[in-house]
Amino acid sequence: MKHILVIDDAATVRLFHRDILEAGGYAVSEALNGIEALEKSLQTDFDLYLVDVNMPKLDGYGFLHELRAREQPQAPAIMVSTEAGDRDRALAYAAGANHYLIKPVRPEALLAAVGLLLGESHAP
Amino acid sequence: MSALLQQFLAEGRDFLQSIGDKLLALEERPEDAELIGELFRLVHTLKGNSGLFELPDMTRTLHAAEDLMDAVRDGRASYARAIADRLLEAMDFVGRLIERIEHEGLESIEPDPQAAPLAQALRALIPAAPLAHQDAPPDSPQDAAPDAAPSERLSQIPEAERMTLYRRLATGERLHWLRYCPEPECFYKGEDPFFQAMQIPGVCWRQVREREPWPPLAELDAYRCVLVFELISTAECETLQDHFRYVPEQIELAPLAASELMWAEGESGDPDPALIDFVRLARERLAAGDWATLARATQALLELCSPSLRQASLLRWLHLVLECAPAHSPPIDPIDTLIEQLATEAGMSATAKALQTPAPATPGRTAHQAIHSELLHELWEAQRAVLLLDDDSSPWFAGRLRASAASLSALLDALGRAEARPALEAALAAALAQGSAAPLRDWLTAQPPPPAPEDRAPASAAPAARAPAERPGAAPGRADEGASPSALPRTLKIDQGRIDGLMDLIGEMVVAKNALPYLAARAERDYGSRELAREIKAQYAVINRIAEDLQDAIMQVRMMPVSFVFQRFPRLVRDLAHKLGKEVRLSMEGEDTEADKNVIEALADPLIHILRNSLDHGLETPEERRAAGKPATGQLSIRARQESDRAIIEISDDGRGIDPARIRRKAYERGIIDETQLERLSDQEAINLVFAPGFSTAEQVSDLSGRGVGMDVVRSAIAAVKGGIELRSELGRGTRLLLTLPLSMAVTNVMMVRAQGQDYGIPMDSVVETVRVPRSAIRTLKQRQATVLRGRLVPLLALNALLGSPKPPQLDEAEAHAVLVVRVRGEPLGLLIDDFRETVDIILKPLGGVLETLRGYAGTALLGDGSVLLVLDPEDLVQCSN
Repeated sequence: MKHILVIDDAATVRLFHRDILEAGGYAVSEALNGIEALEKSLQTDFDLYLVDVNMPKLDGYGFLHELRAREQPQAPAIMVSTEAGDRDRALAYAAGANHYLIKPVRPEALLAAVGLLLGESHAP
Repeated sequence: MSALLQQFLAEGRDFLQSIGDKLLALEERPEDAELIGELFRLVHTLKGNSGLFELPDMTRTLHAAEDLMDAVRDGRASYARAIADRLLEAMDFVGRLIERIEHEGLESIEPDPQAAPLAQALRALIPAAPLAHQDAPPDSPQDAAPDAAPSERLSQIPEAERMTLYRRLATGERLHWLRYCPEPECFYKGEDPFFQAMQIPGVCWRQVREREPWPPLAELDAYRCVLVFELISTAECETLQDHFRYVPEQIELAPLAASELMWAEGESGDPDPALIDFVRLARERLAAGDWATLARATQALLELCSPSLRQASLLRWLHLVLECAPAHSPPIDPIDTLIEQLATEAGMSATAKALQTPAPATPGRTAHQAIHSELLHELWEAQRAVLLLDDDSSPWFAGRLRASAASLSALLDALGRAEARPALEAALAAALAQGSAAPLRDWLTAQPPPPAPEDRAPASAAPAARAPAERPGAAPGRADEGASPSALPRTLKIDQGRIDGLMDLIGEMVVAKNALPYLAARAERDYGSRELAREIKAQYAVINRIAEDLQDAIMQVRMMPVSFVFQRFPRLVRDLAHKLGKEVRLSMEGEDTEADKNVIEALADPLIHILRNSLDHGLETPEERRAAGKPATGQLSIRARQESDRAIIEISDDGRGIDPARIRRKAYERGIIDETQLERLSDQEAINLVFAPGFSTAEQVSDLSGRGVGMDVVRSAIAAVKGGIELRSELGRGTRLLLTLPLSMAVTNVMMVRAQGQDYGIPMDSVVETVRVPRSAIRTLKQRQATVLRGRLVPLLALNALLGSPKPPQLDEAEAHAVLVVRVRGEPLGLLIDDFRETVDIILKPLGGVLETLRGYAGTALLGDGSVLLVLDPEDLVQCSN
């Protein structure tokens, strides 16, 4: 089962994302901020990261910077932000995100993007 | 209630509490950037959470609060009390919404008329962005791109109105936006703002609103102008400036640009396949410059969709822009922006409102597939965007390339083009070796892009949308394998009823185990088995120890820090001080001191009352304080600490203190004391009179300390949890209140005494000492008995008499009386009893049913031998016998 790390400081948002992803058949772990996410990503090889931007201690950009600076295979990351602007999207890509979703995410949009980024092919 | 909603409510309350705390902290340190950042983040996150539900009022208010905090963070607005006031007000509003959802459910939430003024008041504090140069020509409609969100200035103008204005601008008219804020004192200067506003020439739209939320009618000052006039006029800039030549500082004036008017209203709808088709067609027609077809398609779709939707609003604007434009050269930018906003509405990128349950039924098949192909495109292009970024030497550059390649590789799999992967991997290796994205970029350029959505045969090649139900092997519920163990919760939230139930059970066991010593005694006495008796006693010791540990453990579970009550105080003190025009600095210590939940909860109201008293009657106004040679800011402090098995809470202020002479006079006037007492009372005794029922020292009853609810209520509330209260005051220097509280209330230690051949219990809390007094040492003064103990006269009362029996107390062999000295109202009192018995731990149960109203009894308890012990409340007993 593919394993996804949901990183967000808001418990409500984590639960929201967890519900969607678990309904889609993924295993979900949670981290409350960038620091915790970095620690967890050392212990587990996650298949995908769902990253919030604004977090205490270490924000989403900081997390991606640290994660992408590691010498290890890199899993795709989806940044989830409240900002719809192009500037924020470009910042996310530069930090190492592979997709950019705007909060609140639509469940089917999230599941579709996760599925594609995990290389899950269509039904025969 | 769904788990998600519950989580939202619980987290929301926590956030509101932290926001409140931070706002207060910010008043102390208004320059603390970290604190401001943290505050912004909290409001931002809470807003994000509220966006998951249909709570437009809450989201709108929080959004305004977030924007305000953003302005403070950027230094555009400086933190001031007014900002704190508005934000606290907004948070209170959000708190009330959360309460209502909690009690009445999400469905009960209806549009609240308070929300709009609140948000407006918050936004009013955000300094408007610097206005465009006053004499700069307005943007022509030709090159203006519509804003996604309304500017603060124009957000009040309804769409139809804005469209009319747009038309006028399109015909080349010049319009000005003007805001006129008359100063509050303008009426005293002979100004007539309303007349002034009505006389403005060329008005094509105007509104009057209040500058801040209206105060309650009772506080409304009719001589203060709180109005704001906003209008749009065709008059020239100079004409308008001339009209306001006497009050130029009270107006804001700006040329109106077409782009400012163009924004959509309405709610987002569900993804609409027709809209997706329209967007695709519109993009094509835009590229081809085929305006006629675009206009027709717009008109056609407009007739199909509900006019209240946001997409309809966007379509109306699109139609208007096309209509107003010269036939062959319509403005490209606004049209493009409008089409892209429509694409957003169509869900072609993910911005629509979240559904409340994860991916329910598969939406219309075409729409779903279209979204899916669209997304495939978007993801593919996203990786291209990543690879097109300039190469840099950041430490995460290589990782970024790897992640991008991994994403592309996954997309290849999803497309069924796995055969292209080796080439991709080679390109990645080359890119990493060169430290440049170029090889990957080249590979990407050489790849055929994912088939465009249009080319896709409906059912065959489309990657099946991942509807959860279709996924094989998808286990419902949690799928946690591989999750690290540290993700497990370390705290349990338990319903209080269960803890209470457990405590009752443990209490019963404590009593039940007390039967064992009786049993041992019977085994020896009635059955003559000393051996059995000894074994029972040994077992008793073991059970006793376990029972005590159990009791300790459950007590620990019920312990709560006093911060539970204290945390409300900074806000309370701040608001009250504000209202009373006093300056106060509140300091708190020992917030982590713990006591039983019941004790802590019983503490809230008395403490609030005490604080109010201090603020209202104790602390002086800044002027009074300066006159008395004190610093203008008063000190109010609350300290909690634990002393052996008591929690001590000390509330002190450095206010005017209590004047014993005034108390004496008042008490006499109110008939609480008689003339003899008036002369005899010591200062401390006089001060204690504030605890007498019906005593209120305030010269005028204010709305804060309440009417007639005096310190007597506070004292009884504290007494109800077996606490004590002590008041010390020094005139002119301040007042100090000391609350002494038990840490837990579950088990009461009582002393058993004998009177009229029956046993009674007296709580050890009130027992001072036990003595035997020879009959000869008892004196009779004015028909009352008393004796001298350690040089002090102690009044004596017979317990028999208090209990209504004429029988005199028994004397022992040495002709002495057994006297139990108890403390009643802080003074010692000797109770003449027949004899002392042992002390015992009991679970006190209050008297129930018809006995409930019986005075003088604290309750009953079950003893180990099954008999019932009546427990007395000496204080109440003495009081009701008087």
